[in-house]
Amino acid sequence: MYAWLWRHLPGPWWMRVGFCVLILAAVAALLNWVVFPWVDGLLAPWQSVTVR
Amino acid sequence: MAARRHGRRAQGRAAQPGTASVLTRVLGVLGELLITFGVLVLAFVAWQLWIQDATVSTQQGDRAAALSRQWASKSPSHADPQGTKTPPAASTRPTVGQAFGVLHIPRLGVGWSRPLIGGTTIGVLNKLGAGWYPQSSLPGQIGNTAFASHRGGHGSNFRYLDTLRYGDVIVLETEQGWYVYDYRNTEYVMDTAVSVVNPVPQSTAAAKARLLTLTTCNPYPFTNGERMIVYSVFRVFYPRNGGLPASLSAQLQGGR
Repeated sequence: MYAWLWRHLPGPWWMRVGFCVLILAAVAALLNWVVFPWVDGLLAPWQSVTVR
Repeated sequence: MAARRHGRRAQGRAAQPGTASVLTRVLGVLGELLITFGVLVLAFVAWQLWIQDATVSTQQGDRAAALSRQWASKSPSHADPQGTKTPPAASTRPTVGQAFGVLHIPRLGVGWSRPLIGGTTIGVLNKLGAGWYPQSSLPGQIGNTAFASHRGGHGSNFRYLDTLRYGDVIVLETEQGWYVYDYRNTEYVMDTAVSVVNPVPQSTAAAKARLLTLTTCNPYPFTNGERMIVYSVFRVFYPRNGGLPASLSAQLQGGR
């Protein structure tokens, strides 16, 4: 999977490394602002602090 | 990387066409997916413990400080402000999500403050501040004024609530003024013990005293079966227009 990605990135190795960093940054942003908050919401029943 | 190496090796063995190559490549991708999933789970735990926790904590601290500053313009400083043991009756009940006050607990840090928000919905508790139980009393009124907040994650507001000691004060600040409570005791109950927010906690008696109850989860961290309950009793109310005594003011505003 990752080898396939590496093979299909254009340019010399340093440009590919640059693309990898960009992709990683985009994935991190997506996780931080979209995916993790969503998962966090699903976990709410196990993080209760009220008596009910 | 691994998939590529296995792929080449399989290509070299012309005697066994296809099957080994496809199998190793599928297993290679599956392995990479599983490793990726593991890394994502670890990343989520780290995000919850540190990144989101710190973000929410900072946001709520700033919001509380902003509320205090906004109301501070209405309170001239007096040398010797007069408190009262019978605060005026409050009428307007906060709606869900409404920031109507500021919680000060000097034991949790000089200048430590968090917003007081109407309601105990997940949205309130996870993002906005300490949630006010809508069936409980308003600050300073006869009966039980109750708030909930997180022990771990989402700002970890009540993380160190178990360090409160006899003699500590808890102050509820609203636009009307400052309600000063004295910490009395802590108890640990199951999450079903709804009677801790009764007008008289753990009782059906009619209320005579003015109490404050804080609830959070226990034990820390990553568990949810019990609740830590912190009880305080009302001592004095300082109206907004009279200001705060210097000693108390220093405890509440020493930080940010």
